[in-house]
This record gives sequence, structure tokens and C-alpha cells, in this order.
Amino acid sequence: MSEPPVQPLFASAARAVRKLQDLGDPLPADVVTQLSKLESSSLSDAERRTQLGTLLRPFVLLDVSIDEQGIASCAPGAAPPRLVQHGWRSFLVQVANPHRIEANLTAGNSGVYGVIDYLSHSARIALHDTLTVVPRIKDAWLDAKIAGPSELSGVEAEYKVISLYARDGGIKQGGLSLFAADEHNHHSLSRSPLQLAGFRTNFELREYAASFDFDCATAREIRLDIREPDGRSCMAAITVRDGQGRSYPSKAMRLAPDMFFHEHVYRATGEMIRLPEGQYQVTAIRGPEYRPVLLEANVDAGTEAIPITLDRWVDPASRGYYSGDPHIHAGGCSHYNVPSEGVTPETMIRHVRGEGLWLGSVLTWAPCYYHQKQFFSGESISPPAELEDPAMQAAQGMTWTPQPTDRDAESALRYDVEVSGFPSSHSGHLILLGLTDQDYPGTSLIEDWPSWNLPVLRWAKEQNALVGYAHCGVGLGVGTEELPNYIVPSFQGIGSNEIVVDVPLGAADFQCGGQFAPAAELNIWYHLLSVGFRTLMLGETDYPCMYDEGPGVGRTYVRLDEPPSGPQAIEAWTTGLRESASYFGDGRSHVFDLAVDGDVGREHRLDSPGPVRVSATVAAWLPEEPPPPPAGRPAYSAPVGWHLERSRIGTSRSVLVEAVLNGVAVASQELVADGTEQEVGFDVPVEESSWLALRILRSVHTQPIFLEVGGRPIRASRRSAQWLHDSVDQLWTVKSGFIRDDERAAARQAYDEAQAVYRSRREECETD
Amino acid sequence: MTHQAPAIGCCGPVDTDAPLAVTINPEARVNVARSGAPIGTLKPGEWHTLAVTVVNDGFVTGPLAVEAEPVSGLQLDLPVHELTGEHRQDAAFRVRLDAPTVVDVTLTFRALGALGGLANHSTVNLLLSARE
Repeated sequence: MSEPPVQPLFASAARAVRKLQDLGDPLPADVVTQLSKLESSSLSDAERRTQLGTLLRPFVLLDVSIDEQGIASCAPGAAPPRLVQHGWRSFLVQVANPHRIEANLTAGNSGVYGVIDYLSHSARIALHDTLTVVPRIKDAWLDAKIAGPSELSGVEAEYKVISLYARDGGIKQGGLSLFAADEHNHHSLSRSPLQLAGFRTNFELREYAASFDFDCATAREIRLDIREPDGRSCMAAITVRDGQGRSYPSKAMRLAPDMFFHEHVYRATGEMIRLPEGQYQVTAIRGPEYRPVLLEANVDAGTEAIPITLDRWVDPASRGYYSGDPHIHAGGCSHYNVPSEGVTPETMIRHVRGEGLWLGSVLTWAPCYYHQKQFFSGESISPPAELEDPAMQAAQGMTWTPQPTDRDAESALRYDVEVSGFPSSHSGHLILLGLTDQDYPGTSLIEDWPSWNLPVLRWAKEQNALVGYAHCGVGLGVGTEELPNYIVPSFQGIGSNEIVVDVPLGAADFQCGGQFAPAAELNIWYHLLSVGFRTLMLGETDYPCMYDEGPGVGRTYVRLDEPPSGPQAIEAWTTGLRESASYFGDGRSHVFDLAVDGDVGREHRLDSPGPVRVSATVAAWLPEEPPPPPAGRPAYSAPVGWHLERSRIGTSRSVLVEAVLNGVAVASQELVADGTEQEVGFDVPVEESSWLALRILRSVHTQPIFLEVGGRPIRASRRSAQWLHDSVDQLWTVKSGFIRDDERAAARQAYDEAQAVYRSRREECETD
Repeated sequence: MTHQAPAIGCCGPVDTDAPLAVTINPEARVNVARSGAPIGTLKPGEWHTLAVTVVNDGFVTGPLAVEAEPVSGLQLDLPVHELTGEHRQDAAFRVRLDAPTVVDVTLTFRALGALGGLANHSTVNLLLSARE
């Protein structure tokens, strides 16, 4: 065979090593460092090939050779075949492909065909509602899959990753075989390329599989005794890693409620996790109102439980502020390639409880609409966090029994709708909170819905729903961080586009954000407020689309007299949004009791211009030192997302609290983010009717207090009115082509009416 | 073997003769994948056009940019493609290898520059080969 070109060889090695890292099964750090140095070294190609082979050899479990027929022969590599019971281990595969065959490499497994839908990555079981397959997998103790890209690229040598699951413990004999399915030279009419690849090996006397005596470390069920500081039981996010950085349970294959895209799992007090004997680092947290608890755990023959006491630093509910995430999903998005599936309310409530959220709005949207809409009831629910399919999950090693906790009743779900993937989605994605009917009149398919948003909003508001826009900043960035700015955006994406039409017509209540650059998100809101509209802004996650860490990455806190609970929980919460104080952000900073001259009401009247006293209680928590960004992930969530760490002033522990009047920061005060509640106060001159809010940019923003001076409405910015007017023009230019012909005239009329409102308000403004 | 249920809706495989397929889902996530179509063999020193089929379920408009990590001996002509919001568009970029060789290049497709988070399926690696 000719020598493989060195650049593609190293590229495949680097990809495989990254994949091992992603799977929570990383190579030792010094090996990764050596690989990086070797890739860029000045050694000859031959020497680099040799040294690469030597460096990675100890981690190669399987040597695979592809012959000219495309048949794969496997032999044991140098890596010790050590597995873990009820867990996955991942190893390197070294492929020799001297005939440069391009094919798809697939791992054979032991009889679980059809059970687990690897293509889906949906973290749940395929076909569980149509076929009982439990008996089939009872005899299958070993499973294997190629992790990551499985295509043989056609180069003479490359590295792949194989993940192995062992259900049983002890020394077990097993074989591994791979099949190269060649789709480019496939001439059979009766067999798929993969079937043909397996079929060929049936007529050969050669042994194509590699045989191993696998050493499967026995895992034991360890009980997690998770407690609130006051001793109450609860749900929390638990991350367990061993000394090599491997995650438990393995991320290589998880079934709901454990998600493959999480490092953590959600467990309640008394629930189990399976661990072999060894040393572990355990991290526990329950959303941003808690500091992470880090502890070392030694698991040996006598270990039955790991005690964990959570560390809460702030309790907004004790001050009457109740958290909610108005935008989470149970199906669809990047994680579900078979998006008609998704997970059930029993899984979603586990995730919501584990993040310490009072409410989670589970929004059904296009890719999973017809499946997920079955969970809509028009009421809030707080189901037990049961397993979705206990028999199947037990067969996969998830034998723990879900446990109720003292705090279960404090979290609820409400199934509603996000108008995403619908005909009107070009106008922005609508969030409809508190629907009683989820089907637009006269429709049976998504495709039948209106092709612009206003009719949908009006239909939802007839149900007394609170309605608005998701991920408001998408496509609204204009290349500046200035706030407010007067650059009309191009409306390229799925932000709160049509809100500039809907708000002046009284059809939209809010926009959601807290995910992207503040200027892209807040600018449109500031302009609406500055011409006198009472538009709300909420924090959301769009879990697991925009963010996958968990629900409540972006969240909204609403001041209520009573906790939101029972079937009408969301209605109580949205009523509070309309009438009471609220703030949104990342949950790492909080603003309580924002008041003007001691009045916490949303509307405040002044007889004449003059100074007002703005006061609030603010709390924020940052670790004393900035933590290093997580390896392999964007720093602090998305590259431009909200996170208090991005508010840190230099390397200090302080952040800046700003008072904002009509969109402009008019006063500020540094606050030490040590977790304590601190009083802040500002004297703010008010010359005309205005709106006023507090913010810590990239972490928290309050709803405004509206100040009406001398009974005059807020008309604070002529330029804001003009910006909104011009934005309607731009929106029509970009989006009208997506509106159906028979709806376009009505849309044009609405756009005209909105512009007329802005022209009128522009003339009423006293200041530029 | 695996059970491979056919994906439906936004995430289904793209039927195309282009070697690369970009899909933009309703949440504006950009995904890129190799299709079954061959890339072909390049001639040293000559530009080779690689077609890309874009299926846009997100109504996303504006630039679709392609970024690449530098690879010695490989030249890339990666024009910014303008998304019109149409459901299906054709795009293309060009590659040139200086000499007979084989290289592995990683390409990242980006729309809506502000999006981050889970936009991590927007990268694909290609094996490019040049022979006389």
C-alpha cells in the first residue's frame, strides 16, 4: 500500500481525539499535547506517521483492514479491553484502507437491531409504543457503534472512534466486527449496501471479527442523598466524572431523562447513579440561584450513598419573585433527527425541577407538532418525574426508581405553542402562553395556518393568552453595541420581526431574549417603550435549541402575592407579568422591589418635572476569580449570550448597576457580586413622561416603571418613532414575498396602519 | 447494524447532485453534510467548483459564509452566498490544489453571524485529491 498522506491522517486523528473528548472519554492531556506538537512539527512525513502511530497505539482497540472487495477484517489493538458495566467506553479504531474505498463504516452488534435509533440521537427509545422489544435486548450484553463521522474518506489510513456498551460485569467474551457499506458501487436490487457488506462475510471461512476477553468493571447503584440547605429533598443537576474526566453515566448513549448532550443528569434525593469502584468528582447545582457544590467521592465496596448539600445563595421566591422559562421544548431541534419523537412531560418536569424553576412553558413547534400536541391540556401540570419506559430503561441499566421530593409541587409545566416552522415563521416566531385551544380555526395541518403573524396573534389573544416573540435578537444585529441605536436592521432571521406592526395594533404583548448581544435584543424594545407602548420583555432559553445546558438559562422572575400553582399557574404568572413587577436575565443577578419615590407600582404619576428617587435591592453572585471557560464549549454559553461573567468589571468582583431612562443610562453604581442583597439608589431628573428601568447588562434587566408627568403620555423620542416607521418599510421589503397572495392585501393594510400610528406618535414627541 | 428510521420534515436528507448539502432548520440552525455525490478528482493548479445545495426551512436571509482552517497547498475561493429566504438555493465555492496530493479540509458554514450555542453541526470535513 502507498503511504497515506500525512495531513489527512493527522486531521482524522485530531477529529477522533476530539470525539473522545466530546464523549467524556478523553485521552490523557499529555497525549493530546504531543499530538498537537507532532502535527505541526518539522519532522519528515514518514517520521511523523511513525510517531503518530506510536503515540496513539495504546488507545487503539481495533485494527481494521479493508480489502479490495470492501470487506473489513478486524483485529485487537493495543488498548486494554476494559469496559464498565451499564456504561459506555470509547476507543480509537485504526483503519487501513489501501484500496482507497469510500464507504460507510458500521459496527456490528449483538442483537439489538431495531431497538435503539442511533440516527435519531433523540435520547429516547424508538418504537416503544408499537413494539415490545425488551426480551430481545435481555440477551444482548454488548453493543457497539461507530461514534461520529462513519464515512471512510478514501484515504489509505485514518482513525475512527468506536463506543462499546457493556450491560454485565466481570470477564466476558465478545467479538467486534465492522462492515463497510459502499454506496457508490452498489449494484444489488435486493440488498442495501450495509446488508450486502454483511452478506459477503457469510460465505467466507475467514474470521472477520476481533475477539476479546472484555474486563467489565462491575458498577453499583450509589444513592444520591441530595438536600437543600434546610434539609428538604429536591431535584438537582449532578455531574460525575472520574479521574480521567469520563462522565457517568456515559454520554455515548443515554436514554431520557438523561440526555446525551448534557454533562450532567437530573436526580432527586434518594435516586441512583451507577458507578464502578473508584474516585470521582461530583458537582451539584440547582440552577443559577445556587453556587455549584464540588466534592470528591470515593466509591468502594462499602459505599451506598453520596451525601450532597446544595448551596443556595439567593431565594427570589422568599421575596415574592417566581421564576419561569417561557420557551423550552420537548422535541425537535438539533438533537432530534427523528423529530416526531421528543420526550414526555415526565422528563421535562425533571429538567425544570432540576433547574429550580417554578414554571416551564413547553412549546410544541413544527418538527414535533403532531406528536407533542397530545400533551396540550390548556392547564398547567406538575406530574411525577417518572421514567418514560421503565422496562426498557431497566434493560439498559437504568434500574433506579424515581423518587418524589419535598419541592416537587413548586414546579409546573404548561404545554403551549411556538409558531415556528409554520407558514408565518418568516415574520418571527410567536410564543403563545396560556392557550385554551392550540389549533388555529379551520386548520388541520400546519401548512394551513396564516402566512403572517397578526391573525395568529389576534386569535390567541381572544383566548386571553399572553403573546409575543421568541429569540428577539436573531437577525436584528446591526454591527454596533450602542443602545439605543437608530440603524434599521435587515430583518434577516427569526427575531421579533413583525412586532413593529403588531404592537401598535395592540396584538403583541412581549418579546423574549436574554440570549444574544444586548443591542440586537433590546434596541427594538427600547424604541417601542420610548414612544409609549407597554411592551414586556422576558428572558427565555429556547432549550434545547439555542441553549442545551438546561431549562432556565434565560429566565423571567415575576412578583406575585402567592406562588403560581395548580391548573391556572401560568395564568397567575402572566397576570403578574401584565400588572406587577418583573425582571429577566440569567438568574445570576436579581433586582427586587424597584421603586420610584418608594412606589413599586408599574405606573407612577408626577405632577411636574423634577428629580425622582429610584431604589431597589440588588443581589449578584460571581466567584471571586473569573473561572476558565469550559473546554470544548463556547465561553459562558453562546458566544454572545447573557452571563454575569460578561458583566464583571476587569478582574474585580464588581458589576455595574445602571438606571436607564428612555433607553439611556443616566446613573450607575458598582456592586460587589458577593451574593449579598444590597440597597442601591439613584436620583434621576425627569423632564418629561418617561420609562425607567434598572439593568446589569448581559445579566439582568427589569421591566420599566412608566412615569407620566402632568398626565401626558410617553412620547420620549421622535427618532424612535421614525426608526419604528422605517423598520416597517424594511420588514415589508424583506418579508412580504413570503406572505400568500390572498393574505398580502390585509397584511399591507396592517403595515400601513402601524406606520400611521408611528407617524402620529412622531408628531406628538417633544424631543428628538 | 442500526435501525435507521427515515428522518422527516426539516431534517431529512437532501436529494441533490451537489456533494454538499446545507440545511437551515426552522430555528435557523445551520447543518452541513456530505451528500452521496462524488467530489471528483482535482487537476493540480486548476480551480475546481464544488456545488452546494441549500435547503432553507428557516426563512433566513442574508449572507451564508464559509470558513476554513488553512491547509498547506490548498487554495479556497469562498464567496459569501446571499440567502434570499427561498426554500432551495444553489451555491458553490472553488478549491485548488497546487500539486498532486490529498488533503483533508474542515469547512464551517455560518448564517446569521450572531448565532452560537448549538450551531455545532455546521462543520464538515472534505477529502480533496489532485492527480495529473
